[in-house]
Amino acid sequence: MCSRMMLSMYASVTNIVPNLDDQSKISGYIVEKDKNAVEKFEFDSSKITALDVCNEIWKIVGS
Amino acid sequence: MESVRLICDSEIPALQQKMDDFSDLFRKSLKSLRARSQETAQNQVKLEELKATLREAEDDLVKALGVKTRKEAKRMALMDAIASAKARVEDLKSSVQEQRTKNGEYAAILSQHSLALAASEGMTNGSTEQKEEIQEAISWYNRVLGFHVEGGHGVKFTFKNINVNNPNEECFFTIRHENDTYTLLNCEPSLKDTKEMIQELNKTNGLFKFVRVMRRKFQEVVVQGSAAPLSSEHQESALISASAPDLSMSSFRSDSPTKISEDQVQLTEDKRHFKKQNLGRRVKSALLSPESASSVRQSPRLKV
Repeated sequence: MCSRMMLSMYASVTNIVPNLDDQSKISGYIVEKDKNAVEKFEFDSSKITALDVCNEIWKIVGS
Repeated sequence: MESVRLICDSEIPALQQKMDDFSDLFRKSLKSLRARSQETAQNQVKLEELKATLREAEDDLVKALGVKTRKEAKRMALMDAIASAKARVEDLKSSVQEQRTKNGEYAAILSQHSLALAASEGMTNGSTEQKEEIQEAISWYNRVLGFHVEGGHGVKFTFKNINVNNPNEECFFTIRHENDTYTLLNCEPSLKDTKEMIQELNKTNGLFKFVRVMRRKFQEVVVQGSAAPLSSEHQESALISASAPDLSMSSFRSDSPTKISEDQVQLTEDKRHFKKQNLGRRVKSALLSPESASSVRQSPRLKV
């Protein structure tokens, strides 16, 4: 139950649902609740650094 | 006289004959009496012997009667024992029947428990799988977003990848929610306008947006290189108290105003289709459901 609540906190803060199927890529879905929409994002980890991916995602969800 | 004498003389032989006869008879009688006496004596001996035999017989009879009485008593005791044993057998039969009935009931109960145990094991396995999926998702947030949440005395939010020169450098703050009021327990590196931010948080109850804004603030501070050491300002911020609205679904909606249904998600383009349905649903429900939102609020470990 604690894990579920933790996951709830992560998801609620970031508005992101990760896609764990393809480990070769960093992908997931950004939930735009005010627009009733879900947008997919995908990064090729071989072409972009983890730092840039991280900040790019935070930039999207923070905007 | 003579005649009398003659008469007497003539009677004498007859009398003598009578006397002889009598004498013979007497002798015979005496002889007979002797014989009888001897016989009587012998009979008396026999009688004594018979009496002794009779006494022995009577003793034997008494003994036999005693034996008989004892045997009769023994027989009676045996009869009682048999009757008691029969009663006990009947009791045991009823007891066996009762035990069989109970055995059946216990077998039914055991069967029910076995089913419940099997169901419980199934649920445990399912729960373990679910926990692994949740842990995998949390690890994704930790790894990809450099974002950690830790429950305790307040909730600690930690960010990595803030400083481009040192991605592993951690920026963090701990916030606590008590008596409908948020307080900032610590913040590293310190930020200038946390006091106002906390006041705004207590007004809007938008914790999730607050966390995102705090990360952006950390980035700004690190980029400007103007991070100041932990000042008293932040200690003061812990004392900020203002009435905060309930952290209810409406307050979550202020941060995420509209609930997205799963159907709506599926009706969008293929880019909006979840690949990992189970996890997607779980995270989405965690993100959106009022139940999960209230759970976050009610959890002591996550209470802020």
